[in-house]
Order: sequence, then structure tokens, then C-alpha cells
Amino acid sequence: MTDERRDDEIIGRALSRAIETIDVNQTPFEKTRIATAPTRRSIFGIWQIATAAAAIVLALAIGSWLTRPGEDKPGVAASPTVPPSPISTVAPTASPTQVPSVPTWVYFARDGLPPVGAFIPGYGYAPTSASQGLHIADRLVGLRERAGQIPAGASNLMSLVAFNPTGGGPTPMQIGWQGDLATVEFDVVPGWGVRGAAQSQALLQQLVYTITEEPGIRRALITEKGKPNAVIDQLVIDRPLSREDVSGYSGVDLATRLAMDGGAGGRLSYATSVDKLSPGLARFVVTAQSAEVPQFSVSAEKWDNGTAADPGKYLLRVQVLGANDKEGLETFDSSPLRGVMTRNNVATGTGSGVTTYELRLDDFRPWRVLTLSNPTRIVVDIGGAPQAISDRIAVYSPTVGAAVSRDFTVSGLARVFEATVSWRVRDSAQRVVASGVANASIGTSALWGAYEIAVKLPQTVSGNVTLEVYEASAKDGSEVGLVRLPLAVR
Amino acid sequence: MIDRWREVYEREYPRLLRALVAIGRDPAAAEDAAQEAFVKAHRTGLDNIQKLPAWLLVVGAREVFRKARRSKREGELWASLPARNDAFEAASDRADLLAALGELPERQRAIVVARYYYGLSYDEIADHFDIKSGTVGATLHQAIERLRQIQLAGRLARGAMR
Repeated sequence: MTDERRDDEIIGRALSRAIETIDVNQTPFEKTRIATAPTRRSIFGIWQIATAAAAIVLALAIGSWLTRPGEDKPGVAASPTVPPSPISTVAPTASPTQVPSVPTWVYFARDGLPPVGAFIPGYGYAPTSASQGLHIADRLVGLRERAGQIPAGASNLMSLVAFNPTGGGPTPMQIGWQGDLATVEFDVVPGWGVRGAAQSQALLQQLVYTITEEPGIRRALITEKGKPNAVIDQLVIDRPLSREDVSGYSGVDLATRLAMDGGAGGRLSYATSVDKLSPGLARFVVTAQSAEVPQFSVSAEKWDNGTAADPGKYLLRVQVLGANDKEGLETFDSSPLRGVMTRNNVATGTGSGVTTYELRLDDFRPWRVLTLSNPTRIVVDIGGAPQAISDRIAVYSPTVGAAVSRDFTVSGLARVFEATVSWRVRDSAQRVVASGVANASIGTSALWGAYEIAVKLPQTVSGNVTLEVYEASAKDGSEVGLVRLPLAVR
Repeated sequence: MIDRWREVYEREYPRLLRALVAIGRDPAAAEDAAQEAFVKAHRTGLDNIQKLPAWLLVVGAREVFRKARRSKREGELWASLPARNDAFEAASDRADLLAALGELPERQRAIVVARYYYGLSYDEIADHFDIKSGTVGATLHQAIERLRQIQLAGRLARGAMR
């Protein structure tokens, strides 16, 4: 190589390094046009003919989105045996409801997380109202109108939906139901107003969760007026969907059960938190008087009390040998943990017997249990960011997409062989720039252990990186339970 | 199929975006162009593209130039590129180099980036940028020489101010 060429090469390499240091924000793949462009297909791949032949179809005519339905009135006509076509379009007259109302609970969208529920003030149907359709309408209308009042960190995609202002008169939706299925036909301007896979999915989550909030309803079939299905941007909805179909969690087994031996816990008390440790995570902690972790078990099941006063679609049952001082239902304005029902099989305050806690949950999320001492605690963690958890690794911090410095701490729970948690960080070119192993507080057990990793990245690393946490299988070294979190190094 | 695209996207996108920022000096336009390049690649189909990285770079660079001609708003954007934590000298050297790159004619910028950031060979550059292979070396040398002069000028100017 001539001197000249070599000099050129040096400048060229310096330039290359300079380009590599340009900070760029990588648009997540889900938000690109290629992620949303491909052939239109059902989101779940399986074609299921949605038999929406409701024995009872109730056509709800809501005068306009701005006229809120009051309560059950003759304006809403129930008509048996007539299939999906509109039955009655009588605009309900505004009713001066002085009766105390059942507050309206709706769901708002969160980026990369299941939707989050909240009450919207000023809405509610009369406690005497028995019409499930009207309740569902009340929530959907409330969601539409209260676009501005949303929980921190959430958004309301319903505010983007373009409802047909003219077509078919002032009837933006019709609601029917049978058994646990509600059918909602929307009269929207084609396109719904949302763009891209992320927004479409988030809107679908909001709709499915809000519709199925109605006690007794577990599945929602969403259609567009005059069509057998609904197409939200590229998302084709052609079958009834439950919350579990859209929550974003996968591989959760309702039948999973955990039982641990131990002595009696004496007097018990509990505490809860939601979104505090990590977004989408609910934590339930039972503190026992005993020095030793008491005998306990955890199991889950579908559940529906049928009333809005005791909400939830699933429950997680935590049974502990010992006695909680308080009994009864405590409800929270939080999602996914809506309430805790406490029961004791013997007299309260005696410190003996078995206490059953039933955690009322919006949906079914993967759960993890760990125990702590001083004081003795049983910790049940439910959910977390779907992207940040696997069957054996959960990363609580940093959060998905967070900005971090070159020195940062990773914390979470793990249930891995010999408590060895493996990790690495890749730069935007997928090169491994840092890696290591850390120890969880407990290994090879049905219980999870806590871990903490101090990550130190080289000075040259910046921009988008990916944190990968996994278990290196003891059998063959393969990587299992891999969790990948995009992060931005600032 | 989507998974394959995701993999390609995650591997190629950051590099492409940096290259396009360097070439076009406008981060927003570069982002648009990078997205556009991926959409075009997606439409064309992975199996119909040889040497995808180079293909993306060429298509992306063309987009960047097209956009730049439409809206002449270069200058001020360059200043907005975030400064780095490194030592001042190193950072300013880098900034100088990047700024110097921006002084080159469009075509030379793209070729320099293709050669030194993407590591394409002369032949590959000739193929993708549709120029005679004999002129790649000369064009590169000319461009680098110009870079060196601009960078030197910048360094001298900074030295004078201290």
C-alpha cells in the first residue's frame, strides 16, 4: 500500500468511527411500515367463524356520542329472535338520574404493556340497571368522551377513532350479547383513525378489555357496520377475543400451582402495590409473625362474581397457614389488581387456622413467588412488561426502552439452575460489548430469587443497545428463558 | 417471514441510519429515507436482493439526496447532532470529520461512506453506484484529500481560538 493510500485509509477509518458515534434512535420494528405492511391476515392465524347469532340482540341507539345514556328506559328496545340487523333506533332521552350510579371503569392503552384500567368521573349507570348492553355502551361512550382524562403513562386510542358522522343516522354502535360473548358493531369511517401495528393492537386491547369489563362477559366480537369483521388498519379481527388473547402475555398456564411446606405463620397481614417496582407488575406481600416461612400455596382460576362491586375476571388464591387480622373484601382503583378478599377458616385475631387471600385480577398474567426473611414475607409478583419476563427470568429494572448511563444496575427475579443468571449487552450492530453472570438469591427451586447485575459498558458504546438476560442450560449450555430489552445509552 | 425481516431490520437499520445521517446531515430526512429504503426492500423481496446492506445504502442515499433537494435546510441541523461524553478533542475531531464530509459533493459523500463505513470493495461500489470501477479509487482519494484539508482547517481554526 502506498503512503498516500495508507493516509487515506487512516482518515477513512477515523470517519467510520465518527459515523458510528452518531446517536440515532431506532424506530422499533413494530412501528415500521414493513411490520404492518404484509399480507392481511388474521392476527391469530386461525380462522374461526364467529357465530355471532345472538339469541338476544339489543340494538342500542345512542343519540350521539355526546348524549350519554342514563339508565334502562323504553328507549332501549330488547327484541328476541331477530339476528344481527338493527332492531330499534330510538334515541334515549336524557334522564335526570339522581340515583347513585355504578362508576364506570374503562381501559387505557400503554406502550408495550397490557392496558390499564381507571374510573372515569361523571359516568355511571344506575345500580338497578340490568341491561348488560347499556353498561357496555356506557363504558364505551365514556371512554370516547373522556379522551383527556387518562392515567399517567397511558393514552386513549379511542380518541383517534373516526366514527361515521352521517352514515346510518346517529347510531355509532350496536351491542348484543349472549352468554359470555358481547358483540359490538361500530359504525366507523373505514380506517378507524389509528396507524400501524402498535396503535392498532393498543386500540384493540382497549376495546376488548373495556367491553369485557361487564360482569359475565369474557369475550368480545368487534365488527364494523355492514361487515362480518373489523379491520383496524392492518389488523383483521374475525373472531371473539378474550383479554388473554390480546394482553400480550404468552405461555401462561392457569393450572400452575405452587405449594410450599412450613410451619404456622401466626398473625398475618398483607400489603399490595401496582406499577411501583416495574410497569405492569402487581405485588402482593403477606407478612407473617413467625420467624420461619409458613406453609402456603398459590393457585389461579377463572372467576367472575357477576357484580361491579367485586370486579375481576381471574383470581389468584394465596393460602397461608396463619390468621389475618382483618377479613372481607378490600378493593383498589388499580389494574390489574382490583381487590383482595380475605377469609379465615377459624376466628380472626387468634393467629391460628388458614387464611385464604383471593386476589381479584383483570386478566391472567404470569406470576412468581419468592420468600424473604426479617420480617418473614411471602411475595407474589403478578405480571410485568410482557417483553421483560420469561418462564425463568424477569427483569424489573431498567424498563423496556429506558435510557441508561454506561453504568447501570439490572434487577429482577430469576428461577434458574444453581441461581446463575447470565447476561450480555449488544450494541446496535449486534456485537457483544459486555457480558457476565450474576447470582440470584435462590436457585433450582419452585421459588424465584432476586438478582442484581452491575453493568459497566465501555466508553465507546452509545445509542441503542440490547440487554439480554438468560439461563445457560446446565444440560447443553443452550440459552433458555432469554429476555431481550432494548435500551438507549445516553 | 416477519421474523426474518425483524432480524434484518434490527441488524441493518442502525448502521444504515447513521450512514444516512452522515451523508445527508439531516437526521429526520435520514430516518425517512432509511424507512423508505426498508419499505422498498420489503416490496422487492429479500430473495431478489443481492448484498442487502449495500442495496439499502444506495437506495437510502438516493432518497436522502432527493429529499435534500426538495428542502434545503441543511446547515442548522448539523449543529443539533448530540455531543458526546468523550474528551473534547476527540469529539471535536469527530465533529470536524463529519462536518467536512458534509462539504463534499453528494456523490462523493455516499461513496466515502460506502467504502469506509460499510467496507464495500471498489468493485462493489462501482456496481452499486453505477460508476466505472477504474474511477472509484480516484474519486475516493480526491474525497479524502478534501476531507483532510477541511479537517485541518477546522483544527487550525480551533487552535487559533484557544
